[in-house]
Amino acid sequence: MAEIIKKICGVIEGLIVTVIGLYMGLLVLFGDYWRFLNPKFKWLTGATAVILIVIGSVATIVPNKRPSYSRIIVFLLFVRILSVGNLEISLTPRIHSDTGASRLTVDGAEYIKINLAELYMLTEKKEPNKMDTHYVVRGMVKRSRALDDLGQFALVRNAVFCCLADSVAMGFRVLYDGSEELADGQWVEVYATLSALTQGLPDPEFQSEGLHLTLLSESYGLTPSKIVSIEEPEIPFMFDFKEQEPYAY
Amino acid sequence: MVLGRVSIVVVCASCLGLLISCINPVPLLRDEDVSLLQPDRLHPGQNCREGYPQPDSRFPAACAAHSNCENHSRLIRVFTHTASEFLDMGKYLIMGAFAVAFTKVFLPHEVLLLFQNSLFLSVSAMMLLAVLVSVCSEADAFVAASFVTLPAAAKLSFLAIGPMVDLKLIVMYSAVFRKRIALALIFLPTVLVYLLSIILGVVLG
Repeated sequence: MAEIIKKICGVIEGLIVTVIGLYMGLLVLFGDYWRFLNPKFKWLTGATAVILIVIGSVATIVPNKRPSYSRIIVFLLFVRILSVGNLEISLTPRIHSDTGASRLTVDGAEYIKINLAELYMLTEKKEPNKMDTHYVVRGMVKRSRALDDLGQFALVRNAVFCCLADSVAMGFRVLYDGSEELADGQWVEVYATLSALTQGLPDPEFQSEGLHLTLLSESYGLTPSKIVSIEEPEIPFMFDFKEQEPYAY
Repeated sequence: MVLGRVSIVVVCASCLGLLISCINPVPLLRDEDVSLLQPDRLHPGQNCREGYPQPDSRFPAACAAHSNCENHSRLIRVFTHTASEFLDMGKYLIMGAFAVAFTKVFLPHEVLLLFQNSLFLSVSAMMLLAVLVSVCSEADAFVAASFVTLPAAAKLSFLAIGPMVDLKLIVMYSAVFRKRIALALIFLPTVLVYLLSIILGVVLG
C-alpha cells in the first residue's frame, strides 16, 4: 500500500511540473502575460515552459520513487493559487505598439509622443534643449489636498520594469489651476512643456492609493497647453522605455 | 550612487569569497545536496547501473534521487533529476514569495518616514525593507528614489543589500547550505552593508 501511495505521489510530482509548464505556455501564447511580467521576458517564459513540459512528462511516466510530501503540498497550493488568477485566454494579441508618427502637430505646435517614464528619465539627463520641447504624455490624474492648494495635480502611470510586484508609478506634477475639474483616477492626455520646479513636493512621500510606490519628479513639472480626457487604455502600464525618438509612448 | 553600490557589493563579495575559500568545499552544502555535485562519491566503487539496494545513511536524499535510475538512460535520469530539483528549489521559492507578498500587502511604507531624521535608523529601516519586499534589481533604483526624504546612504543600503539578502534567498540559503555558511551568507553582507553605508553617509554627508 505504501509503495502504491509513493508511486501515485511520484506521478503527481511529474504532473505538477507539466501543469506549471502548460500554464506558462498558455500565458505566453494566449493569456494576459502583461498582468504578471514585462512582455520582454516572454521568450524566457516560453523556453522555460517547453523545458518544464518535457521534464514533467518524463517525470510522470518515470515517477520518482521517493517523492517529497512537503513539496507536493506546497506546489498543490501554488497550483490552486494559479487557478484563482483567472487566466484569460485570447487568440488575438492585446498589446499593440504605437506604430503612428513619433510626433503630433496640434494648434501649430509639434509635440513629441513620449511616456511618463521615458520623460522622467530624460529629465534626469543633463540635456540643454529639453525645456523648449513640446511633449504629449498620457496618464492618470492623482490629486491631493496639498497639490490642489498649489494649483497642481500629479499625472502618473505604472511602469513595469520586471514584474508587476516591482512596478513603480512614475510621473510629474502638472501646473494647472483647473485641477478641480479633473476627477481623481481620470485618464488624460497632456500636451505640455517642462518647467523647472521651485517648490518641493508638498506631500514628500506622495503615495497614491492603489499604486505600490509613486515616483514624482522633484525638479520638473509640466506646464500644459492642452489637457484632453481619454479612455483608460486597455493595458494601462508602461513596459517599454526608449532613450530616443521614436519613444514607446 | 552607482560607484557606492558597486564598491559595497565588491567588498561584501570579496569578504565572503575569502571566508568561504578557507573552508573545504564539500561541507559547504547540506548533506543531501552533495550528491548533486558529486554523484560518484555516493558509493565508492559502485554506480547507478548497479542499483542501490541499501541507501547510504550519509547521503539519504542522494540515494533517493538515484533510486529510480536503474535501467533508465542517462537522458531520462537527467530529466527526472531536473524535475526533482525544480520541485525542491521551487518549494523554498514559493514559501519565500508568500512571505514577501504578505509583507508587501500589509507593511505600511509610512513607517519608514519615522526614521528619516536619523542616519542610523533610516539605513536600518531601508535595509529591512529591502530584505522584506525583495524588489528585483532591475527596478530597485526607482523604488529607492521614491523615498525622497530619506538620506542617500539609506537608499544606497537598500540598493546594496537587496540583491544579496532577501526573504526568498534566506529560505533558499538555509535549505541548500550548511547552517554556518547560510548564516555567513546572510549576516556578513548585512553587517558590511550597514557599516559601509553609515561610513559613506557620514563622510559624504
